[in-house]
Amino acid sequence: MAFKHDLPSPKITFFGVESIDNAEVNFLDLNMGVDDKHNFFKTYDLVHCAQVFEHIFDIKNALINLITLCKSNGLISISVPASCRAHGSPEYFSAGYEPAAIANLARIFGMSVELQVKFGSPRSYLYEHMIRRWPDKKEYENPILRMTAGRKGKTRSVLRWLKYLPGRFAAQMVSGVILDNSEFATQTLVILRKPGKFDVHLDVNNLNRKSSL
Amino acid sequence: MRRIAAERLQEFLLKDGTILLNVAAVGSSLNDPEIQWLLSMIYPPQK
Repeated sequence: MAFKHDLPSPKITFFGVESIDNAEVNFLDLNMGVDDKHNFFKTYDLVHCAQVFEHIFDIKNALINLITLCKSNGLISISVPASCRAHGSPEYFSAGYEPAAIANLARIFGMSVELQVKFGSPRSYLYEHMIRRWPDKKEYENPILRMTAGRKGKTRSVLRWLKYLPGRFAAQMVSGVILDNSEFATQTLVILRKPGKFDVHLDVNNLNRKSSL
Repeated sequence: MRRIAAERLQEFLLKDGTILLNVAAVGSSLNDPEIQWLLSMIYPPQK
């Protein structure tokens, strides 16, 4: 469980969507407007949004919130599946995003795009859609032999290994070389820069631009 | 794949900048490889 005081330094502030019992958890729902109620009294040099957009139903609003939280000349990075299976809590809304979908939307809001890329491999695609597992680095590199030690004992680990063995054989047979803009891409990464002179007024309650660049 | 995303972000990390990490599931995301990798880049292990 991530609490403010668990982080190694105040340099990083950690926010998420999932609401859990402990009130000390930083809560941020990008679908909603960012305001004082959420204790956002500051802006940041880098806003990194990690694997959140597939759980957001209003990415336009989400992007405006991220821009609001970023300093002028600061960076916003958005990592999101390019292609993914339906997966759990918080609510799942999208099977993934092309980099251009996010980058083009960001340009409308006056952001400059530093990087837009998707990447993956036949193996990552197979893991995502057929085996339905997110392998660790060692399993990804060696799907058949790697057995992840489970917290529930060795027998359980062996059973899990056997359960996924056919899929692992298939994964071993296909290329694991990760290529940019591959048709098998499973991850998208977009890095945006907020201009120093940012003269577009973005209002979460009125998503139209109030002025033109 | 998530770790790769963090690696690609490395060149854009600022030395003394403030960072907001927005994640989906607060309860579990600290264990996500992307976040772990990112934290290890920002706070390299002490030798």
